[in-house]
Amino acid sequence: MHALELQRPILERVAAGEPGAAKECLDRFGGLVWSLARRLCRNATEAEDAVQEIFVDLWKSAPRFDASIASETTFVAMIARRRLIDRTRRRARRPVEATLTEATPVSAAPTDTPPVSEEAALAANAFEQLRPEQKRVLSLAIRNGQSHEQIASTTGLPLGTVKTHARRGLIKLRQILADQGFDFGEAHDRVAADERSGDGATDGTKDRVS
Amino acid sequence: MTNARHHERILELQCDRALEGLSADDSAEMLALLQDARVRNHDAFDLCAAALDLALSPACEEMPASVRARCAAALDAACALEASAAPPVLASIGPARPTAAPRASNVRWLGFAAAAIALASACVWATILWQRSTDPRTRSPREVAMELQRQGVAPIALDHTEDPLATQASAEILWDPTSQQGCLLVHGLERNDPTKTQYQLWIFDKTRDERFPVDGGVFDVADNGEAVVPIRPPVPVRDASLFAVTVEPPGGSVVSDRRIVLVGKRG
Repeated sequence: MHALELQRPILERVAAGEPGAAKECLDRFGGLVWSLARRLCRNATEAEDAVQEIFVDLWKSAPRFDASIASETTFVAMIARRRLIDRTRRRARRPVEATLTEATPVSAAPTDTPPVSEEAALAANAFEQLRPEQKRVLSLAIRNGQSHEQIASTTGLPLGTVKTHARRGLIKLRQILADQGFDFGEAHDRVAADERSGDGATDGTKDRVS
Repeated sequence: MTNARHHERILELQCDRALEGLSADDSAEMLALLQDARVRNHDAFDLCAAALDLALSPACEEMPASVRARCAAALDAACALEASAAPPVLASIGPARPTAAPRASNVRWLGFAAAAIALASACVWATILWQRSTDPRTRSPREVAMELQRQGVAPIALDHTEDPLATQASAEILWDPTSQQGCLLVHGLERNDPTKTQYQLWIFDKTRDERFPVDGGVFDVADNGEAVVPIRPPVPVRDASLFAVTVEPPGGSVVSDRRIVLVGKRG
């Protein structure tokens, strides 16, 4: 666990109304939130607006943080991602930046960049255990912020297949993390059952929503 | 729907939400299903996606100072807005300006601070109005202000945020909800170039959506850092709870980017 996280979490202090904690949170997570916004917003102006909304959201959501479920870093990233996804849906367009092509290798993280939380390190490891097609779809969805439809367009895969890869990949990822002690507060027995019933799907024929 | 199908659908919706968000209909469906299934933690897949995002992301960029200042101002405003909605708790006197730390413990100082500020502001207000009484450019707002003071309307103090334009700034507002008019008096705010930016007053009305405050007017600040601004909102303000001054493009904005320089709550 990150050394700083051995202290009382900032979010708990924000929730308790401790003076200065909200701005300490801004100092600590500003770079993370700004990086997420810059990556998933179309331009700097939009990113600035988004970051402002995210920190107000975070301030309001702080009482929901539970250190026994996830690290602060992961919780902050979750709040930020939700807001960024909401904004993207509102403007009915998806950010398309540095779209991966067939030839683009999918790596877990830049080699000189240490993961910022223990969960992230485990997620990087778990990601490498996914099927190549699941990795590709999840990378486009998470790193590039593409919608399922955009991924279908980018990759030429049927929409149902994209949804299947995305869902099964994420379910598998969660199962691997749960097996390593990070179940994010939810038992995974049903997930394991679901995985046994059809992890190997490679098309959309099993996907009711497709 | 069978229990297995229920569970399968919950997983689908949770995965979709984590990756690309849900429509309003899908959100409602998911919440209903989660409630039926007695799932306590709704965030597992979102946290999983967040962890993967952290793993896949490149190194963190540093947040620019100007963006940090905007965020800090937004937190100040959110804190003040929450404080204005909270019941008054008069227990002790705290710091003399709003901080980002929210919740009831930081609301306590507001009652006493507002009274002290009102008394001090009344003196400052009267002095500055007297000094400005010979300036025809300020006649109209001055007359409004004097009339409001004569009617016993108490000044409301606005405090500066961390924005570099406002480090020495303060302001008072006289606002009369009955006549729907008021006046803003600004001190120590950085002069603006009206061809590039203007200041804009916003009034947060408790009876309206807090995301859409009422436009209180656009104004400029002179070299001496002062401005006297009449307030004539374009729509009725039924319950003004918070006033904020932002930096906007020339002519003002319909929806502000919320670069807030001054903020204050109505006691």
